[in-house]
Amino acid sequence: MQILMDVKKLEEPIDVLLVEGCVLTQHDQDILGKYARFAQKIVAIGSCASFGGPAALGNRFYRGDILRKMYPSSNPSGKSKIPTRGLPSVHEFACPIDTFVRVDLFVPGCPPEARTLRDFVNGIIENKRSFTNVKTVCDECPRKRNGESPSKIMRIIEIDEIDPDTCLVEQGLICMGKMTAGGCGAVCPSASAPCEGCYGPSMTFRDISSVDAPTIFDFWEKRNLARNNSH
Amino acid sequence: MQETIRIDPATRLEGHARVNLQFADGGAFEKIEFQSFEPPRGFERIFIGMPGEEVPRLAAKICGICYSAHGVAAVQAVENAWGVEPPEGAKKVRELMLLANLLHSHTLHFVMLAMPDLVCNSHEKKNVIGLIDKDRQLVETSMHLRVIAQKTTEILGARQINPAAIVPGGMTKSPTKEELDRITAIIDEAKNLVQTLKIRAETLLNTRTTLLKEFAEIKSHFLCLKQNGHLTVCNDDLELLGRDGRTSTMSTKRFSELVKERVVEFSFTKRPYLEGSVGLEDELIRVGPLARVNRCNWKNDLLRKFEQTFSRPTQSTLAYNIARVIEIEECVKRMEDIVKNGVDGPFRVTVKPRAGSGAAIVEAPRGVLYHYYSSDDQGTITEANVITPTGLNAFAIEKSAEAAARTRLQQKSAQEVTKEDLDMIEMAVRAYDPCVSCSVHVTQIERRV
Repeated sequence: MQILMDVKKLEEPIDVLLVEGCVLTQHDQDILGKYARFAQKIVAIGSCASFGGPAALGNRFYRGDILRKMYPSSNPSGKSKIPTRGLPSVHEFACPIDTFVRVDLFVPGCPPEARTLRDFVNGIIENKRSFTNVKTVCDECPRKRNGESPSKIMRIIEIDEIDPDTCLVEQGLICMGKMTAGGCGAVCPSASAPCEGCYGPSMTFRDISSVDAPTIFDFWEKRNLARNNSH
Repeated sequence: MQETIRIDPATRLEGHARVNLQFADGGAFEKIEFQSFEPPRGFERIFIGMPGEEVPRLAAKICGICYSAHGVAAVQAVENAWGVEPPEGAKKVRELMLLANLLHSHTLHFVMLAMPDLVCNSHEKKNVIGLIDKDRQLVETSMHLRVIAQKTTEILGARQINPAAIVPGGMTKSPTKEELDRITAIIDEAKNLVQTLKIRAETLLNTRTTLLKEFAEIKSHFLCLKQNGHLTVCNDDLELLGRDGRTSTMSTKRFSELVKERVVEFSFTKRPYLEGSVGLEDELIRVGPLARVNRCNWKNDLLRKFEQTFSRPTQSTLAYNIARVIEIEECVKRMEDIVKNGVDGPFRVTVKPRAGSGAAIVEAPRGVLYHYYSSDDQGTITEANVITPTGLNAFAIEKSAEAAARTRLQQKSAQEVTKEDLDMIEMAVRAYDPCVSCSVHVTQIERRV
């Protein structure tokens, strides 16, 4: 809560430690480890702390490559100048906080919806470990499913009019609702914006590798590949 | 041996940063380094290979405060790359979202982050809890105003934070008449709430005049979008106000020629500077509320009082705080105008991607925000670049803190520095409302092989 408070050093018992953000630098890891020792309970707030978040999308590349691209030399032929003086080292992978400390409660969402935060406050008072009882985003989504598979995959920018009442997947859009934990109220698909899976994998869908963004990228690569081959 | 005092972490600002005060061997204060150690997340690398229509939603996640600014700048840049003109209705919705972004961010900063420095007395009380003891009504008003801003974003963008409805070609969500009426009603409430903030700003102008005028003053250039008769957050023209008081207007397309970036060895934030600057002093550039207020011609009574205190243009660093309150009022006025004049569909057109590149600049709460993308003929992103306001302000932040330190510390040695001295130096940094996480990311344009 650096943004609101003026506490520079915290060295007293903490009832509930709320952690936002993933761990990407040694400083992140050190400060997390240090405060975790004072904490009774540790709560991961948001998808970065819970699953790694957008920064973890960078895990698909070598961190060194990203840094060299970020901090190039001022002259074109020279070596890159990655800033280091007085700075923490940067980890290869952006990781969720439970890689380093025990976590009592995950509050997913990018960001967690107000209703999720309210459930969390009640959950922590009642000492629950998990408080989401909606299985998937689809279970909360007002759109109707007719059980028909789309004839082809569509891009949202190509669709002339998105039917406000029919399931986005059945209209050909890639919507992650089916695999994503509910609790958000299906706010995105309700507004014709496909679910991007920010609440993380649904408990009914444990195989994480099949729900994260690379799936979409794979699809995209294959689509481009197929197009190039057809030329 | 050289000595360093660290304000670590710098608090009541967004992200991870520290302020390092360096003292000469056994002697007086020398200089300051504003060091950000926010993890470099590498957003622009992540964008590469994505379908362009996915970019605005991910770009919104660059920042938990300026999600709408990043989302709108990104979508406009992608649309420019593809040669797409969104319908008027969508443009209005996006402008409302940018304004709502500014409203909640400025209110958060002025009340919860800046006010404690200006009205709370002891070091221990300089925080939002101390402010509640001192001025509960102000804190409650600010929370109410922020709810109004977030509600507006939710109605238009489907979520209060990280709006989901932004897509190239327009918005996926069309606001209904009932929803627009609801926005009209809450903006009406906001008009009354703003008065409380204005009264506080006027009191500050009357009671802390010398501090506001002189403390941490530096001389810099200012850059903002050309301001029309109202608070302008989207425009195709930029205005540069020189240190010498001369102004020049240019197309936003020339931004990449105007602003270059440099890596510094002690910070993850790079330092943009004006191309063709002569010497370090000449590189100092500031963006944000002070730049906009320096160049605007709004009819606003707080602006008149501002002018009487500071004259315009002003170089006073702490004037940023008052400029924010002026903008809060102008922001509400502009939102009211847009909704009253009607926000009608259609809100989206279909889009055909093409190979190309495009940039866009919007006024984020902290100043000009630049997004650039290029894509192949399928609309897959091949290059990405973002330059943020806190990046642009970084050098000025350091120099303002240095000016503050010179005033406070005079000939003091490192051992004689008090908590109060450090509070004052931090206050100079805070005037810029720095957002450190935004400012750290890939900014080098990369070409896909």
